[in-house]
Amino acid sequence: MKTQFPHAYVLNVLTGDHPGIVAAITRSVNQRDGNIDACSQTVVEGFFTLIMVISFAQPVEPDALASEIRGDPAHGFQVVARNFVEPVSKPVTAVDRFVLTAFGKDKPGIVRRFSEYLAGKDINILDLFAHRQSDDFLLIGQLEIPAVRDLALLQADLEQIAAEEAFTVKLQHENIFVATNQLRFER
Amino acid sequence: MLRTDEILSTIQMLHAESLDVRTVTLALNVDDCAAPSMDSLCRKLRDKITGRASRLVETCNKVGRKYGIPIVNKRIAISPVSHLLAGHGQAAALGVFAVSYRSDFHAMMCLVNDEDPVTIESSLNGLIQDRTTQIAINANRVGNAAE
Repeated sequence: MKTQFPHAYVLNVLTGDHPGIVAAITRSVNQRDGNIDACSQTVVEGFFTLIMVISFAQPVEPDALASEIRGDPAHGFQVVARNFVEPVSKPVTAVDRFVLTAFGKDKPGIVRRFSEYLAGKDINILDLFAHRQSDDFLLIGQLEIPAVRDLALLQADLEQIAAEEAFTVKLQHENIFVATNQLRFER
Repeated sequence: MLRTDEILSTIQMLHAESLDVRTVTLALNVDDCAAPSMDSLCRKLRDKITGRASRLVETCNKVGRKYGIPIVNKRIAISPVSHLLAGHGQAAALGVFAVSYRSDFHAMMCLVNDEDPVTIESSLNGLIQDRTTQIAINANRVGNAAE
């Protein structure tokens, strides 16, 4: 990604959710004439977290930037800032996007069990959602699976894990979700 | 990136509302199977259909597994056989019709004398009167025939 200005930083904020957090963060960035180049934010069970790539025309000390955004400790912002360095480009391997859904009675170790299996197969997790309701646990992972992997084998392995954990698991190509929900035809 | 509610709505369609792909149909033009003799015609028909469709069931099942959606019926539709039958007479037509009647590719090799002539003939009369009729073959058995 090419940022607006040459000096780029990645910023991470965690705090209890309430109106005005993004405004407070962007005010600090704006006061230094910075630019927001990318951002993703979510709220989980009343906690707000945000990751942001920002850039400035002049170098900024990351700790000073974090401290400024943190502001009054009474606000309870946890802020981390560091230099943004483009990730070293990985060797280009063809990947396909799949969605893993797992559902069953909640117990410790479910996410670890699935994620360790995926890690062992060089499968990258792009997005992970998990939710506990009553005693049930729902896990949804959006995955990047190297094209060389045999899908039938992956599905069989995951079903084996699911059977051992008394879970129901599905691994499906993302296009079934696109086709049933979105007016988006080219991928 | 997909949203969680989109993923859940598709799961709901598949599991609670039984979303499936009802039928995949492989359409084949068999006009090039025309031949002067019935033996030759049946052989060409059999070779064409088994050659093109032998992996239909396997492929449909593979695609179904990839997307996590069942594909219920796999069918083959062939172009109107009246084109092939022209000039061969009704008796010859019975041999071809046996293919669809028995839903079995081995029937390609068979003539009609091991079938119930009355049932076949009454069906065939309808078939040859309607020149646009297409024969649909239940392909769920193609995989078995190819194994």
